[in-house]
Amino acid sequence: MSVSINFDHVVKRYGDNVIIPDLSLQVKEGEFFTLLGPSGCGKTTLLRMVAGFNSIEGGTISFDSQVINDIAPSKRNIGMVFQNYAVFPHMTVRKNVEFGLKNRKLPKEEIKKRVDDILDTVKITQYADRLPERLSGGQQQRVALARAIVIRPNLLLMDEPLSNLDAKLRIEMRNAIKLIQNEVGITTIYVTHDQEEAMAVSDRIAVMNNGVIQHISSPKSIYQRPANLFVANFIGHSNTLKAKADVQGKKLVFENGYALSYDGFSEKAKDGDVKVSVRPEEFVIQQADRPGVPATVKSSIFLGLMTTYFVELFSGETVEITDVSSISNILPNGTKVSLTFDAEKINVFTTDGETSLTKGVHDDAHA
Amino acid sequence: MRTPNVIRPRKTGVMILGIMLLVAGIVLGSLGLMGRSQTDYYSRKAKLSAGEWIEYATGKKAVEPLTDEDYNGRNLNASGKAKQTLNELLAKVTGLDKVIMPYRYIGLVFGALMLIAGAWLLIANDVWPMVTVLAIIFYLVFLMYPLYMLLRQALLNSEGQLSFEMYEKIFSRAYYSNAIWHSLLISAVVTLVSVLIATPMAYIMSTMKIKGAGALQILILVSSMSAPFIGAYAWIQLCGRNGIVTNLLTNIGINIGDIYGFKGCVIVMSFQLYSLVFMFISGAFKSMDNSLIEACESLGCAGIKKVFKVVLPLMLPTLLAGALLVFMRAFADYGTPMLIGENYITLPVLVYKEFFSELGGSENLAAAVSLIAIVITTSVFLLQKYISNRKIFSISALHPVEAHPAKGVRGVLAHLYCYVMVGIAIMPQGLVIFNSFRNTSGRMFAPGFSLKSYAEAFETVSRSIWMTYLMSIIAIVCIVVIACMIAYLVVRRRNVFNASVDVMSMFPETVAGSILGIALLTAFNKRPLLLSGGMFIMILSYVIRRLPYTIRSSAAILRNIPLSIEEAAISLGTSNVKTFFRVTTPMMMPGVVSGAILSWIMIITELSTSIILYNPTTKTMTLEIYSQVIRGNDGVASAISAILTFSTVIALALFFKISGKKEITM
Repeated sequence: MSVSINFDHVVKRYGDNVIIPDLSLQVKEGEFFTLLGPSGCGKTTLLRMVAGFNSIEGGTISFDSQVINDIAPSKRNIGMVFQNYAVFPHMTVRKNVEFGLKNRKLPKEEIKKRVDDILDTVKITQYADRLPERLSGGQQQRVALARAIVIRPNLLLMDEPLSNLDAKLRIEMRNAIKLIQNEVGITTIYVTHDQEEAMAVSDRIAVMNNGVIQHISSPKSIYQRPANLFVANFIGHSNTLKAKADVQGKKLVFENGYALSYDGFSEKAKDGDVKVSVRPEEFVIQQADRPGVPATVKSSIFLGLMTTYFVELFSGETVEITDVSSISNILPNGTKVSLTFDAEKINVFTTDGETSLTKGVHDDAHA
Repeated sequence: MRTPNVIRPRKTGVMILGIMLLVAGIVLGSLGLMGRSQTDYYSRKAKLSAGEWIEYATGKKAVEPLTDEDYNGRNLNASGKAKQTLNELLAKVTGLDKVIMPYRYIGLVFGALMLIAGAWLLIANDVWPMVTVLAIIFYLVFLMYPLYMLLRQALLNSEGQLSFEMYEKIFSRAYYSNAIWHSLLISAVVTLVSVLIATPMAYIMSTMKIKGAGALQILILVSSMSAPFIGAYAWIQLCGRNGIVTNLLTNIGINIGDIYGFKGCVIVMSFQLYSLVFMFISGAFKSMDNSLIEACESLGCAGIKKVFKVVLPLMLPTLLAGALLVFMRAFADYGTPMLIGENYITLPVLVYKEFFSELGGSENLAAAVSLIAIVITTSVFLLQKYISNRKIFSISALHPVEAHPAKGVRGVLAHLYCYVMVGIAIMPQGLVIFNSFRNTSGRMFAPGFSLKSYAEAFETVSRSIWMTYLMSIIAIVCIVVIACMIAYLVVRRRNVFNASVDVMSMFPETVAGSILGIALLTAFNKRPLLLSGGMFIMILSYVIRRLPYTIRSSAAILRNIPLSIEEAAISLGTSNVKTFFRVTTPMMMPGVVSGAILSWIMIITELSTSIILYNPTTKTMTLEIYSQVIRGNDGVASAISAILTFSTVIALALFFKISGKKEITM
């Protein structure tokens, strides 16, 4: 039985040190929900509050309508996957997986059946009688996952489960996790600092910073229409340029006087100074005599599919641009170019970076 | 762990030659030394010059038969006596003596030359094979040979034939077989009680915030480092026949019975030794991963069930290691059963009594019992290793276990438990220090306080105090040097020879102190190998007994120093030897020295070996306390004990300063 989770004005303090000042959000039943943020932003703290390993200093967390603040961790019916797997080293794979079922005093045949099924699901049947020390990191993580979901928890919590694996295995495992979660359909809260990983697995992502939710939405929406400058910079890479907005004239005027026609202003937008966030792939490189922002190529890196250019603007700032590699030559260093932008994709923010002035932002946190 | 692969040109032929020269040099030199010492000894006894004596000994000159002139009436006159003495002495000369006496100087000179040549060849090539050879010789001569002599004595009868006569005697008479049984029983019960006291305490102090936890830790440490019999002595003063508590309770009409015998041994040893288990388990909690405990809870398993299902199984190897140490200490303890055991004779007491008793004792019987003890302790040791190796798991403690504030009744009970247990453990030292400041009149305590006991101690037995420091410091310097070298061999130069050095160096761990003492005495008590009765053999026994711990701690440190650091030094053009002294040793030093400080404390508080090997000039503080206690001179005994405790505390402070650690892990 999956549950929906409701965080209602949750507060976390360690002494006088406030980690989470006031946090509210809802996780839907069966959803794969990710808490994403830089280290120290409070995402793991929040996860452990759900698990019951951290106390809750204010507000409530409820599963469906039941408040779980004062329920012991062992009674919350939660499956948890830890960063360092926390597979019991003195038990075989099978013993590890049946551990939770035995505590629930299920009949023997039922335990065996469920364990066999789950071992099959996570593809570790052949290692059932091995001790964990003879398994690779990825296999250990599969054991941890099987152990957590075999008890059919209301909720699955994962605390940076892939951060101890190497890059290739990480991609393999995150696909496996997503597949298994889809198959089992458990409400899942996943914590990570890796934005690519978050986008790959999540139904929805909550971006956190300093204990405050910045933006909650689908991966696509968060990437394309970030709610503020922090989200724009944290998810993927963004260059920030200064400009002036002309809302009525539907124009963005850059410092050199180049006016880009722009149709995306939201109702909040007013004439005046703004910040324009441009992702490296949203630049268009043109010959120097075309209208645009003048710039000089400083260096380039050929990455196969893409080529990355480091370009100095007329104002002295350096921006990063990626361009699909072509058969013709890479622009040599020192080439003068003129830059324009993919007006549909760029985002415009207030000068403090707190608010997006682009229409189409979808944010469940501040709805 | 990478295998050491410092690549260097090997000249196998030169190395073998060097090793052969080295060994031959040592053998030849030792024979020369022995020859010289034998010649001196006999010629002095015979009142002849060395040259003349050798002529007699080698048969170039014969002793003239006794003539009538040698008699003075019916008795021998001076010249007759001289001839008779000479004959008696000649009868003692062995075949070996006849060879080594005339060629003693040749042996010495050639031995020295070969030694130097061999050493030079090896050092020019690679110094470590030489260290291996020296270490092997050291252990063969000073450990394996004594144990072999002990074995001989245990299994040979007076005619020098193999016989099990002694074992028939041991197992047919209750007096002997009971001592073995008593020792086993005491050790097992003490181990069990220690584990039962220490495990909950370590769990409480690792998971709950106990007020004054730091102070408790230090007190526990000090209690574990006291001289073995001070506990017994203090308990007798409190609960003995004329003890303070006994008298107090008798006055209000309660009779608690006496504390002597089995009961006393178990109480005293358990409260002294549980601290060892405590330190082991506390260490294990430090390396325990909290995620494992949380995983367990999130799977619906909490409370005491969690402890038995996950926490204890993971700590089993550590628990067993601590339990083994307690078992070994309890089994080897001589002082406690001697003082408080009374008629409850244990194995070390039996060995001592048989070995030294002038009435009906038998060295062969002592040796036979010793052999049984070695078999028992070695079996227990191997059993522990076997179980541990199968149950050992590496845990990556990403989130160590944290202490949480203790609340309510549980908190109060937890505090009470810790305070009471630590209080009882530290009581003996507290009592002894208190007594040392009490006023005395004669041998009795008088009302009031004074420093009279200290004054008397310095007046009458100051020699033993200085002797203790002198011998222990010499021993510890030797230990540090030898341990560093052997640790390097064992960790960085793994081969068959060095592995055998490793095994031999660890063997003394399983041999009780008094038994090692007897083995050394058996081997080195007779000419020409006479080493007993001086500082040398005392220091030797300390070195052999404390090396295993220091080697192990040094090796652990060395394993944590990445090999690449040495490789970097070598690639920068430093030689192997220079790398060891300039790079490796300085990195090891803080760890090694702090390990050595602990060893030093164990040396100054040790009794069981010293009591067998000492003579009046090499009496140590523990021996002095022991004899003062036996004599009933409580004031002086307390004062020396207090000095010993202060030395321990200062050494511990030094340990924490040097190591920068907050606790000791064994």
